[in-house]
Amino acid sequence: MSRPLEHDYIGLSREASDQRNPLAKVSNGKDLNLKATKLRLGLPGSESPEREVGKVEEEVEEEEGKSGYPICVLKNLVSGAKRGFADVINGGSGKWVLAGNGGSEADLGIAGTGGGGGGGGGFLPPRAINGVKPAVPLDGGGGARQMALKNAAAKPKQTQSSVAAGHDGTAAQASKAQVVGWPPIRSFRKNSMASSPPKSNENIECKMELGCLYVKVSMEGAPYLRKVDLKTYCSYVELSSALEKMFSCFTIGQYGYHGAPGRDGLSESRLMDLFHGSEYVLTYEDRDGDWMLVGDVPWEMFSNSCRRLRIMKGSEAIGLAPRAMEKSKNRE
Amino acid sequence: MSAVKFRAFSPEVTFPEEALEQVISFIDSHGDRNSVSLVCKAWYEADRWCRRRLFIGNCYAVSPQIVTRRFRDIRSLTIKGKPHFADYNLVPQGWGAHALPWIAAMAEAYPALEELRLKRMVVTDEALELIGKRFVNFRVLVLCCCDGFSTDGLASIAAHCRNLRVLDIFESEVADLRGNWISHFPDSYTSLESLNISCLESELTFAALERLVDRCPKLTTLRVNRSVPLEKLAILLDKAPQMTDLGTGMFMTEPRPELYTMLAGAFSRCKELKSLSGLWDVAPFYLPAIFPVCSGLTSLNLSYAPIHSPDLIKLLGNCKNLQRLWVLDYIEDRGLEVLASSCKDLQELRVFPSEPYDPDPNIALTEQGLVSVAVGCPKLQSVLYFCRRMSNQALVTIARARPTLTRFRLCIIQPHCPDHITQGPLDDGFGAIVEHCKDLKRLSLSGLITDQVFQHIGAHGKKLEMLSLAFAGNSDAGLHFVLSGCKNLKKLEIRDCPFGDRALLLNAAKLETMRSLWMSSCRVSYGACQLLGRKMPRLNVEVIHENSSPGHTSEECTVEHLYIYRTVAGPRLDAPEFVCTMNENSTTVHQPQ
Repeated sequence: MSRPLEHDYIGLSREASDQRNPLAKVSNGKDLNLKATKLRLGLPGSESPEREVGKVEEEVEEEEGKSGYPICVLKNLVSGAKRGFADVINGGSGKWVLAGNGGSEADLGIAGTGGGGGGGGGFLPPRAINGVKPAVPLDGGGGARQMALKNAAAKPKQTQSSVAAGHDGTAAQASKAQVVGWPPIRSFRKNSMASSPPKSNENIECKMELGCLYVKVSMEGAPYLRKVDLKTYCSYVELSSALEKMFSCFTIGQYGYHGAPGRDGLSESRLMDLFHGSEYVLTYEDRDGDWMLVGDVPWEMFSNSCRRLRIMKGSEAIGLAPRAMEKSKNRE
Repeated sequence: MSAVKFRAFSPEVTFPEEALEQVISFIDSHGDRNSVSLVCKAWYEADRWCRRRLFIGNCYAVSPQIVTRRFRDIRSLTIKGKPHFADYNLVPQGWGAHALPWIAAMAEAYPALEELRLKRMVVTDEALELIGKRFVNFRVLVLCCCDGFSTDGLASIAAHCRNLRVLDIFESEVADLRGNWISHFPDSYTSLESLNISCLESELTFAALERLVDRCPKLTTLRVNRSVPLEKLAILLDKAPQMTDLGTGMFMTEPRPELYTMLAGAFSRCKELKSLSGLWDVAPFYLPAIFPVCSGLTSLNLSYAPIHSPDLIKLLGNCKNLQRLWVLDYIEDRGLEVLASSCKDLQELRVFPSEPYDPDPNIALTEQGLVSVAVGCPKLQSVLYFCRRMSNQALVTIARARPTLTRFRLCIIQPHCPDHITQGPLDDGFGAIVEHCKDLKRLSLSGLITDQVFQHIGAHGKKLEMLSLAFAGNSDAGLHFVLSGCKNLKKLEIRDCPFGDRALLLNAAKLETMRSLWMSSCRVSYGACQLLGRKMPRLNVEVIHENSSPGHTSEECTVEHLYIYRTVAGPRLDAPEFVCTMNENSTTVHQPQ
């Protein structure tokens, strides 16, 4: 059974994960193949999904303290691991929920999309509270899947809290990342910090502020979308090289904000690039819904206003250039 | 008065009403006025007639109709809506706290209303329009942490409120449609004194802002938003050297000596400046421009400024008269040491985390910083401190050094984080805080906490009014200690603690003496909520479902969110479908919207 790419990405060893997989012990290796079906509630790179499903309570207590996946989830945030198909984390708000209250089922385990939008609840099975015990599914995949769905839909918040409130005091070390509203910081502050540029020293370092800023990247002719975390880049150069790797067939021209006073100069060079060999150009949709050429504005301004990216054929993008210019003129 | 032998409580000897009203009018504090109204019928009536300022701590504790029936002429109204934990996304969207019904009722009953202060309420553009059109003498609008309105609503306030003095939308969520709402202030309008729009995201029409500042000579508070660049700030300051409270915009641009000079000059002309905030994105090059005003500052909010310790130290070294400081953890322990030695008048300190989701950022801020400040600042009263480690030893030191603390909110970022020296719980440390700080009114706990601490809190926290708990305690005993011990408890908010039915039911009567109780992700059963709702008609017991459907809950199920508050208005009529108010009929009452 192949482990999804994301596991390796995070650096969780297969072995370590298996050790923490209780059902591997309990169910005599009736590994319920949930991984194969990619049914998961957590973020990609999270622990084996079997854990969510119908564990008995004792195992919950046992495992909570050693849960490794929340750490790796946190690592995702911190190291800015670029997950190819990672879902959007509600960037800036820090709120981790199963996307769409009530719509959670839809988010479960769609192959390749890495589980519930924003991760959040359902990593661990709900603890038995007041007599409501999750049943242990030892009956093959279908039943387990049902269980996972039900558990997820019914008590995502409970499980979230059971992760954090491990009352034997061994709560997951990094579970805070998944806990709604913790640490207690107002949205206004979170959003402000998320959109501020990297902290400035004498030398400008690029360090990721809290949260991430995932934007979808689509490319003409490509069969799938990718997502990138804009917070992990400090400049257009970084972004373009990352995108190049992702969509290896495409090239960007000479982008980057030169601070040149003359806008005409900039767009000229871009147009020249188009003519001279860049088959594709990188464009983005900004907050107002307009499509602009990437590279017009300072990086910080771009990363704040960029909502999604699109790699267009050069010929299509030519029409964009005048608009982009006008728009920046309007901004003055 | 006839010549009668003086008898102390003779019914014939009454104090003339007008005189009574006059005397009562001198009593300002809301609490005292409430007490006054309870003395006797005559005093109640007098208070009814002459009360002008009203504070409603929970918009659902009373209804607009009850208010308008009781008070004849209110001029200033303050209303609070959603529970505090709504700030941290724990209250689902659409829960309630709508301002419009209140404003509509006030428009009918109190057309002379002058001041409206709302906190955590949903305010629509329609509501704002109503304010503009119906209250002729409207002067003060404060929307603190509100949402539901757009810049169109602000435009209608600007256009219609001829006598507006204060417009403050502190940290509200505003749909930013366009920046030119500010042009809606008519040219003849000159009475603005305080403008706080720092939460807006869109670019303001700067020319209009400039003209506004120019023509309002009494403008002393101006907090602009981030979009206002540095060069424009200098222009504004030039026009308003009478400024006492300034919130800058972006404090960063490429180094330009002529701009620096302009800025420094403008600041040095602001002799009255007492409060400085904003300072988003500070460029160290421009920071010294502020130095001329530092010695006069009493309040400094650097909590959005990514300035590091060395620059902070230089800055703070100049701020001898500082009373309030909000700052990021970039200040580090050494910065706090400098603060402690330079700012002896410090009363309030808030240290926010620059990277709250990073488990191990490279920031040297520990419990030591707080200890330095507590020990060094004799007037310290209020603390909000985010950190990553704590010890009982530090807390005990703080408690002993600073028994004058009235607000102590400690947030150790990692839940269940133990004392880093002993690896044990922080019970003794927090216990020392409540024991020594006899006037403590507000407390937030974090870190590894057992029931033991609640025993201390119950025993010593006699003046405690607000307590916030997260990931704390072991059992119902904890909750019971608090509810049975803290006589003055008004607000209790709890998340992710193993508290269940017993403590709640045992202390049901206590709940009527409090403003509200919030519990989320605890272990209270649905059945207990039903019981409580049935037995306590003067409480609204709201079971709030976020992720499960309200229809299918059995008695044993634990509730996700529980909000209990005392009320004289009965179950509310505007509850959305995911909120069920338990009532006397012992079955859930769904109020469809």
